[in-house]
Amino acid sequence: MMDDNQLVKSFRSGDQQAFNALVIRWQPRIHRFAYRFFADSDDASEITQKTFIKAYQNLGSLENEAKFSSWLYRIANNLCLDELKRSGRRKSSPLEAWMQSSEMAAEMSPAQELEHAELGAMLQKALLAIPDEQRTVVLLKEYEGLTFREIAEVLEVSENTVKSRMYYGLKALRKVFKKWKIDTEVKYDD
Amino acid sequence: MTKDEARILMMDYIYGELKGEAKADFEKVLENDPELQEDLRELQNTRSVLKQVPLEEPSHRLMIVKSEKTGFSGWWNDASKVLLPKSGFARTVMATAAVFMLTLMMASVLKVQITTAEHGMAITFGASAPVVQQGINEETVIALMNLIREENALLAASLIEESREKQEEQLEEVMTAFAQYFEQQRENDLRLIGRGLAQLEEETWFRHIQTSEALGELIYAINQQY
Repeated sequence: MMDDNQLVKSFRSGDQQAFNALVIRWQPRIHRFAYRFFADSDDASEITQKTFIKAYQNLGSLENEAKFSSWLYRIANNLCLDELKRSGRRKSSPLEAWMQSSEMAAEMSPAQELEHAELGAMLQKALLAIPDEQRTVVLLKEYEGLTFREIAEVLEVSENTVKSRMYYGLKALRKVFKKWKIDTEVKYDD
Repeated sequence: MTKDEARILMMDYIYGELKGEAKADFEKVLENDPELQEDLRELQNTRSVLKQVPLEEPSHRLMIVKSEKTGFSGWWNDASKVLLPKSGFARTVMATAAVFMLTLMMASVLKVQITTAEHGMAITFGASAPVVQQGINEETVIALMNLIREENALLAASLIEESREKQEEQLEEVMTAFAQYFEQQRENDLRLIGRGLAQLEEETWFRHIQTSEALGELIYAINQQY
């Protein structure tokens, strides 16, 4: 089975099927990343499609084939941020996150939410409550399994910046979990 | 070690990216700092909760689709798929019927006549078979021939009518297939145009974004200068 480097080279040599192979390999990961960024299947599908269209158009300009994965995630992340700007969605701020959490707490207790097997949905909402740049780092690290160096390449920032965002992202999530008592319920279930 | 340095090392430590001596040094610092220990425990708890976010899989696979260019052969394949039966037996029956009909039509055109007598059968083209007079008078023979001729004419007429109806049906099916072919071509063209427009829209949007960013940077630079 060919690795990403070989597939990129084949595609550059005119083999269209090589790009299909890259799509088959990467579509689930890019879709998963975009889904967790927006918590919406339609948005995730649209971002995934745009990501591969852009990759198809610009793969010739990729200087180092070994950086294909970082390059692809960068395209997806930039498209997610563009989509946020384009659709005029609010960027989450800590204050807004707290307001959202308070509203949720008033509407339905966390225990009820858990009873309705919606823990996954609540966690997804919690991810939406943290700032975008922290969410990106958390998603790439926690779910995509990238190293801090790779995330730094995706975001074109320093490794220490990435680690700092990761730390504050986890702390922010921790606060939201405490507010919604997610942690306690999980422990109780265990 | 400052708090910020400790936090950065803690990230490496949590995600297994701290190795060897650096890891041992951090563990030593951690051992003597209850606040850092609490911080670490909380972040690890947070990570364990995050692992419960469900997986989301794409509903369909993306593929590069080349534009379909179908010529006459493609149309013919489509038409034959519509017109011809799929099973071998049905094809054999249809072929036999076609041969039979062709034979009858030829017989009708060539005026084939089949006559029987006591000593055998006679087939003639365009003229009656010579009648051998054996106990049957001429009038009877003529009457029999007329009867046979009328029956043959009726049979040929019904076969021709049947053949004409089948031809009309087949023509209608061919025209339907032809219309479907043109409709498919039209849809393909529309799809290609739609795809082109979507791409154009996307490119326009990205150019708009790039222009906005460039203008923003320019304004920022000018402001910085003055």
